[in-house]
Amino acid sequence: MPPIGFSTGSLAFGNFRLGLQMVEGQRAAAIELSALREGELVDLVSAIDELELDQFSYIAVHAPSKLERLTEEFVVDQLKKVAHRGWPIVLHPDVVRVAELWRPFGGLLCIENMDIRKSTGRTTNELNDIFEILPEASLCFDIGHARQVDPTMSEAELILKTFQRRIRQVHVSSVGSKSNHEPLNFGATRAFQRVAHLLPADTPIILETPVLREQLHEEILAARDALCVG
Amino acid sequence: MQKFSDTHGKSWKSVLQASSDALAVEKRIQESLLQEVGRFGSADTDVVVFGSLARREWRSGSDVDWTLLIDGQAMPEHRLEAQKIAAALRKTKFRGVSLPEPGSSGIFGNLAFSHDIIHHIGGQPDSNKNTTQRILLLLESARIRSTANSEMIGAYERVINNVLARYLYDDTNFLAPGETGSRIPRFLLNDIVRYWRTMCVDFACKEWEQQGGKWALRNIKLRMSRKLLFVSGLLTAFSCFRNSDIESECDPSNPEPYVAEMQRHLEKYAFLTPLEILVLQFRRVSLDQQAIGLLDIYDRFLEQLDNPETRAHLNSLPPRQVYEDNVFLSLRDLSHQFQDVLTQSFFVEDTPLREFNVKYGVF
Repeated sequence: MPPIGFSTGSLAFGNFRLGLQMVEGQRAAAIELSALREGELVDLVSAIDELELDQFSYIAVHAPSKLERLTEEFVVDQLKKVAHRGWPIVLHPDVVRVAELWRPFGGLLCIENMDIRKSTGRTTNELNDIFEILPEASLCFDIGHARQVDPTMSEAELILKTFQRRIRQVHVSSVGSKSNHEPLNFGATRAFQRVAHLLPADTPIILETPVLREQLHEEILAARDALCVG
Repeated sequence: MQKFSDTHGKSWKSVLQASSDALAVEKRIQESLLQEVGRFGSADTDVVVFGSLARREWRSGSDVDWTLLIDGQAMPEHRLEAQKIAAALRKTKFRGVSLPEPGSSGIFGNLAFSHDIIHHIGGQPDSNKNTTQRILLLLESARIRSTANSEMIGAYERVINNVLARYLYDDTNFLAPGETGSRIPRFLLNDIVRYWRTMCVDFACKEWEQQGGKWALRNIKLRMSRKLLFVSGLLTAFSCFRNSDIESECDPSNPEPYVAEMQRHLEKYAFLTPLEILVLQFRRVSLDQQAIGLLDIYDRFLEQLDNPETRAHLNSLPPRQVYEDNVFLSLRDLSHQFQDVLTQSFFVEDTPLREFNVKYGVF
């Protein structure tokens, strides 16, 4: 059984402490500490030593998705403190301007495939371009994004087959036309089931679905159903 | 409705029962879909119901007209979801009785797409099915959601808003120079009137297609519930006429603020039932007694319609025998009373409603 858990950002937008509180004592074995907004990064990195994370067998950190005030160098420096712990760092490919800065993270750098709003990282070909400049990087396969880009799931299948050995974790949610992450629904579940067999066994599953504390367990069960786990 | 009922010390037993039954059926459907389909719907889709269920007039024998409304990316799973919904509804029972399926016309019981509904207003692409779905979305619809996303503004609300925007922003009436006072949504009104006449013509068409089958029941429904639907549409357009709630004046050189306010106003009406609209607008022009009269009559109609024997009798009554049939004649008489009060209210009583009707109702 792979570790399954949540992104703190989806549970409590912009508040990783509250997100962690929500999953405390729940049957979540994985956590992604979100610093999706650049303003959260320093606070998260400096708080890591104090965070109670014993319940999780898998921990990742999501790097900021857009850099407007912080420089790429500063963000990389901050994330080195995370990489030091051996935690994967999930990164949107369009954040990378200077690839040399990111290469030292090696396989801990986990590039996420993008939704239709982005101009890169959406398809196998576009991901290939990223992995050419970051050859050791791994992949955070966002199955909801892949379905939004190609509802037939052909692109999802191609990504999974092409980058099988790079897959480090999966992001799971329903993604609508407006690119918002939603709880899993009938359509998303059916679509995900079609390619679930291509996921490497025991790949950690991070739910990006905005749910309430009392819905966490139900959502984990929904993810297991969608990815044919257990 | 409750306030009106309290003010006048009146209650309408069948109206209340039909409303509470409709809510119970809706809950039952939601449970059934959750059980059989799972988490149905999404930000891009909604299960929408029409007809007596949406009007909150559920009677024994009422059928469930529904569609999976899609406003967003087309997904292969939509078809499968619609099939699962249909299968789940076939299994669903209320008070031990299976819910009747939608009619055979193909208008309901499948997928509907927002682009057609929003963009094809009038002209060749605006099919009978498309017109029906669009107008019924505005006049008698409700959405059923799984609990996970019950509060959000989803496909249903977006499509209603977009349809209203089409009617209002494409209406040159708001650009016409002259007085800056109250305007009415003429494009919308014309489509509502057109739909009423379409229903009447389709009644004759179905008589021919179905060789008189179910003629009597359809005739009575046309005279009562379908007419009430049209009345609520007329009153929705009338609600904009000299309405101080739409405060800003229409500046033909810059009509957008006025139109936006009207859109917000009309959106509220899309979520009311026909009877609620009737009471609301009749009260506005002090036609309380006429509203009471209509509710009294409609209450008796709903009571009759809830009688399975009456329904079965009307369903099997050949058109050539209806004028010798006491059940039909009694309901027909009820519909005449209904029409008399409507005629009095819309054409005789000296109110802004009469003025509106004379000015915009026909020509």
